[in-house]
Parts: sequence; C-alpha cells; structure tokens
Amino acid sequence: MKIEMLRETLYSGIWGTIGPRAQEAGSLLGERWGNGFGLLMHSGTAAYETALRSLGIGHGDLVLCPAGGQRMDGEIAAAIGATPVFRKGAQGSLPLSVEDCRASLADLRQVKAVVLDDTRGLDLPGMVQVCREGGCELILNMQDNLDRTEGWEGIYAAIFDLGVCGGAVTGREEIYRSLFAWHHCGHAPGTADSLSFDQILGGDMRVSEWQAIAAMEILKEVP
Amino acid sequence: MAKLALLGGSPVRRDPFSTWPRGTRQDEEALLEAFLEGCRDGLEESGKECREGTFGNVGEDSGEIPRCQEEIRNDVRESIPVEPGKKYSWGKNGRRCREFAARYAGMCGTAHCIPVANGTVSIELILRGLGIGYGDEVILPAYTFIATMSAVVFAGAVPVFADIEPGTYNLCADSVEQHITSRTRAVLAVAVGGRPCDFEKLEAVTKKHGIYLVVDAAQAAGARFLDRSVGKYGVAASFSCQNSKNLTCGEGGIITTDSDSLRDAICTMLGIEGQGHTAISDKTLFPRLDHGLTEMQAALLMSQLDKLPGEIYLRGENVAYLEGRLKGNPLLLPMEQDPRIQVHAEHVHLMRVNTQILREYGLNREDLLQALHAEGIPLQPGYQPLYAFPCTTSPEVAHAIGREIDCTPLPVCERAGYEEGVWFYHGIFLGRRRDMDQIADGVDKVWENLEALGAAKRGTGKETI
Repeated sequence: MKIEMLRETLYSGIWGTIGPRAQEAGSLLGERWGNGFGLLMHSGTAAYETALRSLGIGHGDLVLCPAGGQRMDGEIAAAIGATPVFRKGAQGSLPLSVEDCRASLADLRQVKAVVLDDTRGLDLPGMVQVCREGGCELILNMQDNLDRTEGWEGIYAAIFDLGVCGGAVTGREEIYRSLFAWHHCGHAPGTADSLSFDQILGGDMRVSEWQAIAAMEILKEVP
Repeated sequence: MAKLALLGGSPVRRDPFSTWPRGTRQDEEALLEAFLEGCRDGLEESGKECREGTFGNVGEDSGEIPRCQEEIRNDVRESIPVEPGKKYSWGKNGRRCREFAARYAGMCGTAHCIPVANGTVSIELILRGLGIGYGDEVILPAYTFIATMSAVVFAGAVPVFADIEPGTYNLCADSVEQHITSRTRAVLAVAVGGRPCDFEKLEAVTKKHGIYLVVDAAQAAGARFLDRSVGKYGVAASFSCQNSKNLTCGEGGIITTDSDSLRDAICTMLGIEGQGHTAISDKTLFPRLDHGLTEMQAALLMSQLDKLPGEIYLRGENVAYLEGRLKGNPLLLPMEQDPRIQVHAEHVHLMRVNTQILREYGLNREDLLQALHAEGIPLQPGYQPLYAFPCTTSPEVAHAIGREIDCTPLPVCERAGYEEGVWFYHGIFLGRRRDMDQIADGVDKVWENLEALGAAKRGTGKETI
C-alpha cells in the first residue's frame, strides 16, 4: 500500500462523496472481474440492495433465491419489501440449473430478479436467456469470490463483498449509470453534486476514500 | 462608490476562502496506524516481512522516515496479534469504533452510541429498529437535504411533509400537529444548518400523540439546546460524518440513544455481537444490514473529535462578528435568536434575503447571489422544498411505500426555498477576521449599488442580469 496515496488523500480535502480513489477502485474492480463497469459501495449488502432497488423492486415483487444460499439473498429482498422465493434444483441440488430456473419462472409470475451465488458448472448465458424470457434480470452474489466467470456479460450485475467495502460490476453502461444514481442520492455519474434532484430517489451507499484505497490493496492481488 | 464586479468593476475578494475538511499530522498518524494494522495481518499471512519498502517510500527523497510512522510500524508489529486465516482486517465495528462510540456517547450524555456507514442509513436503522415501516407515516420538514426523505422511503414508510418556522427554518411544531394521522409513528426533526429545533414544543407534541421523536442531527455535531446535546433529544438522534460535515471522516454516521431496546435492535441489524447488548432472538424482525463503520473511519473521527470544540468556538466567534458587521445592512436578515440554544453547530449559517427591498429595484435573490459571487462572496441559495423534485413523485417511490407522497406546497418552505433562504458554508468561518470583513464589504458594496444592479437587469430585458 502506498502511504503517499493515503497522505495525498488526507491533505486533498476529498475524503468521500465520490472521490478519485473511489472511482479508481471501482474501475479496477470492473477491470479485474472481466472488463466491466465497476462501482464500489460501503458493503456487499449495500451493493445488492442498490441493484434490487435500481430494478424498481418493491412490495408485491418476487425475487427468486437459491435455497441454502447466502442469507442476504432473501433477507435484503425482504428488507426492501419484496418477497424472496427460495428454490432448489429438481434433484434437490444446488446450484440451480437453467431448467430449474425456467420451471420456477413458469410457476411464478411476478419475479423481477433471480439471484444466484454459486456459478460452478452453470450455463450462465443460458440462465441469462431464461431470465429474459421470464421478464426478469439475473444478479450474481459473488461475495468475496473475485475469480472471473465466463459468459457473465449478459447479467444485470455481479455483487461483491471485499470485507472493507462492497461493489457491483455490470457489463452495460446504462445499468452502471442507474446503479450509480441509486447509490448516490440520484445523481448521475460525472455530474457535480448539487442540491437539485431529478427522477431517481437514490440512497446513500457511497464508499469513503479510505475504504477505496484499502479495496485497491485487495484488488491488486487479483490476477 | 466602487463599481460592481458584475458590471465591470474589481471584485472585493479574489482568493478562495478556507477549505474543508483539513487534514493534520494527528489525523495522518491515526489513519496510518489503522491502515498498517489491517495491512500487517495480510502481510504476516502471506509470509512477507514487514520491510520498510513494503509500505511505500515514505520520505524517500530525504532518506528519512518521519518518526511517527516508524514508531507506529514498530508498535503495530509488536502489539497486534495476527489472526490466523485473516488476510486483511480493516474491519467494521471494531476496537476504534467502540472507543469512538464511548467518547461520543459521553459527549452527548447518552447511554449508547453506534457508529455506522453514513447519516442516511443511520436514520433508516433507527426507524427499522423502532418497528416503523410499510404502512406507517413519518412527518418531516420539506426544507432539508433529500437523504432525510430517502431514509424514510428506504425504511418503507411514507414521508409526510410539514412546514417550517419562518424565523428559524426548522420544523414547525404546529404544522406537525396538523399533519398527524392514525398512521403517524414518528416525527423526524432536522436541525437545519446545525441549529437545534424547538425541542420543547416538538417533544410536547410527540408526547401528547404517543409518537416517537427522532432527531436528524446530520449537520449538528456539538450542538446543544437547553443544556443538553441535540443527541439526547427524542428516542434517538442521527449524525452525519460525510465529507462536508463539521465532524467528518469522508463517509460516516452516528446514532445516539438512551433506549436499550433500540440499541439492541440496531446492533442486531449490524451484526454486532456481545458488547453488553441483548441480541434480538427473533431475527426475522430485523434484517442483517452491513452498514457498519470501518476502523479507518473511526480512527479519523477520533482525531477530528479532538478538534471539534475549538472549531465550534471559532465558527461561533466569526459568525457573531460577521452578523455584527452586517447589522446595518438591510439586504441580509439574521434568523431569530433563541436563548435556549446553547451551541449552534453552524454547519451552514442561514440568513434571509430582504425580498421587499430587492423587489423595489426589480431584483430577486438570484440577482443578489449573482452579484455577490462576482465579488468573490460565496453565499448559497439553500434547499428547495423536497416535494418539488421529480423523484418525490416517481413511480419507484410510490411502489416502495404503497402510495404517492402528498406534495402540497407549504407556504414558509416556498418562501425559504425560492425567495429568501441563503447560507454561508461553515468552512468560511474557520478563517480569519479579514475574511469576515471582506464578506461584509461585499454585501455592503452590493447594497450601495442596488440601483445600478436594477438598471442593468432592466437593460438586459431578461429574467437574470
């Protein structure tokens, strides 16, 4: 870790609210995980919540989660007013296969998102296709697994938990812009902070520069 | 009479005013210690040695390493045990967070203090911890930062806007009472600009109706009303430590409360085990939300807290001096004085534009601001009412809370937001007397040249000069 970076940040007067280190670390996360658009947030649950809210998910909506998966998959969905629906594979196994997902979406009409946190042996492009046919989006909850996943480009977002902070990576710029606004009071990326607000009532899921510098330390070890 | 800068004259001031936040050597030491502690675990785990070069090239040019950093490295190596299996340990809710919490609770006089990720999730955590959510209403002022409203929406409750007092711009207790319904669960009172609300009246109203008072003290670290910290009013208070705030670590928040049950609920949501709190056994009541504060942020807050009293004093002195200088100038009117306010945090120094005088010259607040900015005087227009933003009536918000928010305009909010509210940001008040004199000189200059300004605007034939 470069102490000079820490010092520079301290004496720069920009310690948070979309500082240069947060932007740099976000780009590094995106780059490391597959040349996507990366965005740091203060935790993995904050990143996941932002992804769900950016999809307009709320009361009456369903979020399909893997049974036996990460606690936050269903818990955060419930926290924002949606109903998590837990599914196992047809053989009682995990992860969910493409066919498992297709069958579940055929049963349930109001699924807005499918969340997976185990992509081992998964046909990811096939899963993306099934979600699209079912009118919903696919979110990967990668936790601290920064190994690149083949065929991820069509997903809505991948969520990460780096311990000191979290983040999201997406392959589509319009989704990145939406995630950004939802995590920073509705402001669009690259716009100056103001007290005027537009269409999105975003939350505050930002990361401090200190967390971003620490995240860069973690990310630099990713091959 | 000097010519206005806007009309071709020279500005009163060319240099920028005092900036914020300002890092110090003490901050540097505190941060470095927290960083190295986290790094050290990682380095030990990976088998690397704690060599000098591993941490960067401090003092490379001079060949010397500043003494504090060398001492810190040695202390860290010797005193911090390595946790097996842990790569990095820049953890949340750790030792420094607990130390800061104890100090801040002591400062506020509250039983409990919980540092969190920011001053928006702090409000949300308080509301969730009180069991407030979908179907419930929370009354708040329309004249505040948008995060006050988004926290209510994110907790699933319906924001209900009440009007503000014309002399303070804080929540009006009478208006609150007019907006109470059978669904109202809480009043969220904002200490706008760091000025304490009329907590006597607000507590009386909330007590009468059996609803919670929650204080959004995002801008009010250090503020006191009737010999109590603002953190001790209501069932809980929320503070922000975002980059612009008087007590900052870049991003951060603080919750203070005397309620054991609320403390337990919030700690359950944050996953904070032990530490004297009773974990809520029925965890289905409260989701696990990772909104904790890291050790680095807590380290910086501890260092900043040392400076807070002195900074509050300096701001207060400079504000009093500036208001004294502006006393004879009718353009800017001070807010109402209230002897019950022991300490005003002065995050922003609110004032009101004398719209009557400006109208006589065909001018408005925006013209005044434009003229002052040209003189190098950074007076700002303040908030717009929250009900006026497109996002307040967006379909996503209605979906999140189950109905549309009532956006009926409120008369005092309208005047404050669009005609008369202005403020100076607190960083300015950490400057020198000369800075205050130049601000006053700038306002005086505009006052003396109002006729020319009005004539210039008429000459353009436009809405602005």
